[in-house]
Amino acid sequence: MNLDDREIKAAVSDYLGGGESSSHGLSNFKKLTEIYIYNFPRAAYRKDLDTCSGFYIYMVERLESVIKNFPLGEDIKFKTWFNCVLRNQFSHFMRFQKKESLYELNIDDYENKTAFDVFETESFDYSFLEDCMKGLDNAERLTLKFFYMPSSLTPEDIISSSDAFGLSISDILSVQAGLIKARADESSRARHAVMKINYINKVLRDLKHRLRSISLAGSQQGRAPAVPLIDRIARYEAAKARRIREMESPDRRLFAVFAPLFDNAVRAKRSLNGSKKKLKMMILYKMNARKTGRGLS
Amino acid sequence: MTFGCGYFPENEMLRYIDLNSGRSSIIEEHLRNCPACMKEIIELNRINARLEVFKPGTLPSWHDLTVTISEGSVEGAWSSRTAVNLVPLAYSRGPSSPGCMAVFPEGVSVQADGGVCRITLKRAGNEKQVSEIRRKGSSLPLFSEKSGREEVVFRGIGPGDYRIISGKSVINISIRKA
Repeated sequence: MNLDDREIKAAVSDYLGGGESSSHGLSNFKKLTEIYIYNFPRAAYRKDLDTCSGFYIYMVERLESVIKNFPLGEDIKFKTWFNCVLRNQFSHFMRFQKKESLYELNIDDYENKTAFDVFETESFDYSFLEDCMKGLDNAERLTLKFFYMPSSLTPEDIISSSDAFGLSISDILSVQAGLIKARADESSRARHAVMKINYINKVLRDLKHRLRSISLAGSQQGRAPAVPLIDRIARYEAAKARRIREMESPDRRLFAVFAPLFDNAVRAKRSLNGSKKKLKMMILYKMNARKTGRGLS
Repeated sequence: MTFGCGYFPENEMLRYIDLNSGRSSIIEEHLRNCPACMKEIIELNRINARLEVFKPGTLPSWHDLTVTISEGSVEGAWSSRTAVNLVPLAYSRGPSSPGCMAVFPEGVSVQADGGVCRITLKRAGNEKQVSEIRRKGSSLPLFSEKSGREEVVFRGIGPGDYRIISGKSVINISIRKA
């Protein structure tokens, strides 16, 4: 989702210029940013669509005052500034929503419970994984966090990774941003592959059913099974195997973004594999300790 | 608006995120000792990256819908064609058939004389659609029906904020006491 910096700055300039072009500038600005504003809670905080539409209406009411504050003379990208504004506005909106949804429940009236929204965004519990990661040394922990969970890096992680990998904070931040983007691409690639595999499975199921029916009819009449149908099944099986291989193969782009943390790609690969092995051992050890009820020394 | 601890102006920090600041080394030195600024920088960096790769889809087609709100002599009508903004809204109908949300210049708002209103929905086309009205924030509708009728009337609507859904169109209205 991109915002055209030049076009938006022209719209803001039209609006701030006043006169006849002012209303045109504002409507142009709205047109250029509406999809961006609407999807902001979903993209940035994984919120549901109800929150998206609520936030959109909240922002539309405040858009004029927001646009007036844009520092047109400064050489800042509009997108960076707007993300900062949207983040601040979103935290105000959530506070405002929380205040509005304070219901007093009567304990006897169980039907009151329906006043609450039943849909919630999923949140994952990483406490066991984090507990296991504590057993790794700092560089190993950071290597895994950067590669697998770049979104969950803390300020302490960024500072210690700057020291551990010998890079400046801005370099570390750009690697983090690159990895977040590559991870998103990787998951959409996996989703696409799964969709294709599901489709192939459906086709295969139908073909195999047809083959069974034909074979049954053929065996009663003493005929050979339908060869073209078997060929088609074989082709689809091969396509499915190709898709599965594609899904399982490591994403080269992700690794290419990750590698600059190290001196070279070989060292990056070695470090990542070593950390992965150690984490696996740590998870097995902790799970075993949980099962047997013995604590770790 | 201050950024983090407020030691650097917001614009300077935003320029740093854009990798465009002439004072990067001073800011980096500050970031090493200021968890408040560091936290904000990391969050904005994450938001920037996530929004860049997010794919929102295209704007769906618009469906014609007119809302009339009447209470005694007070009456107002709004058509979806007069809406200034349209945004896509999947609204539990799956990503393959997203809806639209109409946002009016000042939001649809009517002044009721303290009594209750009648809301009439008029739609184009006669395919079966869900029409419902729900209070803002509530997960259950006050009224809901699925029919192919061109006109649906909600009676006895008191002051408050509501969301009217008709097929793929969503209109937010607010009824205030005069």
